[in-house]
Amino acid sequence: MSITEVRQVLLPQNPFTLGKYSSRPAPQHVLNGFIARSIGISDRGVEIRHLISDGPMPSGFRFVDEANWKNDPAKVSSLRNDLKHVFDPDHRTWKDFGSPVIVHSLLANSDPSDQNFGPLIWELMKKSAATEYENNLKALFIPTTIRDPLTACAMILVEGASLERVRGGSTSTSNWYSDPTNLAGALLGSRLSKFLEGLTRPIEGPKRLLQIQHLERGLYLTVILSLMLGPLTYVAGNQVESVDEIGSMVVWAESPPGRMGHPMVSASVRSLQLLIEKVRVALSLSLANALAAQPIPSGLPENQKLRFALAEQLGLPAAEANEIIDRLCEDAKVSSDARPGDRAWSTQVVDSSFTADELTKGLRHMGNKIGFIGPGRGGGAPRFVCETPILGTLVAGLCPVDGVEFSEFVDRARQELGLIFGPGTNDNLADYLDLWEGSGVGGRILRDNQEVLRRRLVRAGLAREYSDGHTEVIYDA
Amino acid sequence: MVLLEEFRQFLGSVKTSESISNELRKAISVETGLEKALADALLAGRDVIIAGSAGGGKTHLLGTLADSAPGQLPRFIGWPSEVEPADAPFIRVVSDATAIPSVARREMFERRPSNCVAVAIAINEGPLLSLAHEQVDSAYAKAVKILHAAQRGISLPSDISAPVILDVGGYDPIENNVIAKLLGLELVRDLVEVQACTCSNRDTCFRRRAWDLLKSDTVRKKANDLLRVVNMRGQSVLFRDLWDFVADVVLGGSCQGNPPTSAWFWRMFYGDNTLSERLREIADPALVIYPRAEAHIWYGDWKSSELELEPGIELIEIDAANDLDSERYRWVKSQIFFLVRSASATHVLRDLVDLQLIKALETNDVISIVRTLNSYMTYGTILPKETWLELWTDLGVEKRTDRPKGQASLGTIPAADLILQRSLAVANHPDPQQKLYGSRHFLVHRKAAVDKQASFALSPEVLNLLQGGRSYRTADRPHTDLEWHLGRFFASLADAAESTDQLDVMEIDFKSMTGSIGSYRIAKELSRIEPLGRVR
Repeated sequence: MSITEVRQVLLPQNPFTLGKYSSRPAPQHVLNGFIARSIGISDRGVEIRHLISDGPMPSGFRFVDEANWKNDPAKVSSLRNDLKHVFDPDHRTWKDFGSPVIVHSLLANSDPSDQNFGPLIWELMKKSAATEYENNLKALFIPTTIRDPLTACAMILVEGASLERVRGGSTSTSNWYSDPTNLAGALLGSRLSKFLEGLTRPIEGPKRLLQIQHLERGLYLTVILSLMLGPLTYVAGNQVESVDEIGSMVVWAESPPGRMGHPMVSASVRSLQLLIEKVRVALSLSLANALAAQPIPSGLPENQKLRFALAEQLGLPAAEANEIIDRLCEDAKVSSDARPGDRAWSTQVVDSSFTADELTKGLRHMGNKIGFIGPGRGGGAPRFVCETPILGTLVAGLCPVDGVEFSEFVDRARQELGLIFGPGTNDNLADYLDLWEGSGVGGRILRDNQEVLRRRLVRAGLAREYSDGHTEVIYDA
Repeated sequence: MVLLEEFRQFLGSVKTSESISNELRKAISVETGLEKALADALLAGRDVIIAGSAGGGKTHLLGTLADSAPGQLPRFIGWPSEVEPADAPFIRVVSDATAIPSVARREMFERRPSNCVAVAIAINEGPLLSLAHEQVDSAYAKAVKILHAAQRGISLPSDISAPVILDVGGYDPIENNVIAKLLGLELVRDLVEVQACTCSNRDTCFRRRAWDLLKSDTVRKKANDLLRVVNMRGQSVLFRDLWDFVADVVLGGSCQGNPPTSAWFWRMFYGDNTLSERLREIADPALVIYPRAEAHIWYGDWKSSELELEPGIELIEIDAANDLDSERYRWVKSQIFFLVRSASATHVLRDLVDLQLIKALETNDVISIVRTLNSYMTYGTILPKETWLELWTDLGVEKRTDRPKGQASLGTIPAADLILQRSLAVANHPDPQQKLYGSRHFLVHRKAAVDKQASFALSPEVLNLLQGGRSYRTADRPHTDLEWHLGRFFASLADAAESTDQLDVMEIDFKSMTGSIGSYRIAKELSRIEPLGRVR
């Protein structure tokens, strides 16, 4: 399989596609990539990795060098183990590479495990977010006051460190979130960036740590949504006004993963399957259209046209492009002399790397890490779910500071992120989801699901229920 | 008979509080404490907002006051339908703000003449919240702020420019003995007597004979106390729920069944009403053990001295010729539950429902709650602190099968800085001694500014989880939710604690269920991290 080459050729229109090791990127990786690209990489990254991993004890930390316990192996080992618990709770840091939790931006590492998703999201934010976003981000990750022991400890670890450079790497500018002709892409980009802006509200004190966790989870969710909805912006048309019109995800609101056979669980399973099929179609369509749109010099022999268009698409010199094209054609078992824009050719290329099974497997791996797709393993068909922490992140990102009425929150989840928990204020929602035979039945199932969500929000302290049944979702920073 | 028929219609929800006669209203009114709070506030010339939901008793409360205190209070004039007097003092009353058009609703406090001494408004919380959002500096907005704080057990400083709040929805009628009062109403007893029954005479009628037991204050008190267990579910009990309950125990069931389902004590547990449904989720009378009497009950030996009943009470016997089957056994035990000599109904239930933490709430025992929280967070592996609450957190994001083995502390809060508070049904009242409570309990940080106090709801579900011990499997979702809630509470507390000089890190081994805590002195200015030791 030539997933690297297929990714490369899809990149200009689809910056977000699953990589070769789809199970690798984790939330801590993406957060590191995001900060490394936006604020910078710590010049103490290697030593900090060594300190909290099993590597040799690094030098250069004043708190160790000047300590009278530095020659007590038991104390040193105990401290390193405890620091690992604090700064690497998800076990994503090793001696040679890794991504600690960024309590301070000077902990940021450049870790390729994020498969470039972190920098890509930063490019999205640069394009779509409000001007004060970068300052808010810095305020969140470069604390000026120390009001909790974890931050105090982080400050000691990064003492004397500096940000040496921002993470490099190419990110195409002609893609779904910056192509001015792709209005659905612009809408998706602006909604996702608005969600992340909500999660980057600068907060001081210990609650800052909760906000960092929200942002980490939110970034990762944004990557997953970009993988699923980004390609669909090419087939969504330009009349869309909310994200669910690009692509919708019906989410099982009860405790995950839910019992197979429950109509809402079946709907959620089907919703994921439909979305993946749509993604595959959209990827091949966007590739075909992109190749058809490449300006081919007149007089070029027919059997050279596709090769030329592909080279243009890759943006590489002919010789370099030809190597990639040869590998692509060989692995995908397609000819290099087809007509640029041939749908069958594009479909075969996409199918060679992004089968429904592969996409499902990759998205399931990723989604499960934040409790958005489950079950993580076993025979149960994957579906959209919502574990409590991701529910909290949705509230933190979608809810205004003064709270929002519950049905409006449900609307926001649908309109801003494409997540469908229930009808919200749209009683006819079940009609166009096309997941049930009767819209009446569908409407009832959705309403029940919405009620379950309401109860979960209340139980988790994310909403307040009043005595007349009225419920308000609260942003509690 | 006309009154009884009207009462029957009221119980059957054919008539609502708004449409019953004054005579019936008087006959079924019991003292709740809210009447005095309302009257005192109005006499002091303060505006009042009675908040709650449909069926909560708002209209009934206003109606009761209008009927019972003529002459003491200025006249009640219904707004906007009645003409307000030109000179005589009066109280503008909006008996159901939800029913009037939203445009008019915005003007309830507006254009009041000088002879309008106060405004009393009964309104559902939803419309009240809408008004508050529309008019951010209005009396409605102030009312919502006071109401929401009261619902979390927080009493904001008195504000005479804001209305007095009576939260009927949050009022706890069971705690205030209202069930016992309702079951003792003469009109209710009359209705039982005239209830059409197939029994040939009164002496064999289980419904009426059972009702005679309720003449005892002790038995009525036990019935009320038992429903306090329902409160452990943490949901508000509405007046409509109470009346549905009364309707079911008075009119429901049949004397011909085996066992007869018409007896009130049977319906308490197995009746067709919300309170009974909630009760039987928690308590099953068949599972209550009376060690010495158990065999006597099973073999129908009703006269046994081992059955120690309350003085002056006689058991209603049931045919036990062929021993009891499980249903009839339940019936007898339902009855004995109320008749057996005991300190209280909840005392009888002590083996069925773990009341240790409930008791801690009742006795304001913060130490027990703090110890339980500390023990929960350390999976019971480390001797819990009692005088300090440790604020544990972890920065993990990924979902895994097990919870993280490591946690770090954001600091500690002295138990002395925490208090247990109950939700308040009366707030911003001119008489600060005027205290009526709701059914919710909270652990509150009293050292913070009043409007920034962190509070943690100690619902019965939460108490059960805390008591049962923390699960390290993330698939145990109730614990995941609880941890989420606790994490936010701890972060809020840590905001006030601002402790930065000590870092505690806990490590748990889930295989051996052992834990240890490493402590470090953090001296940021000196750039020092000093190990202080490890506790196991």
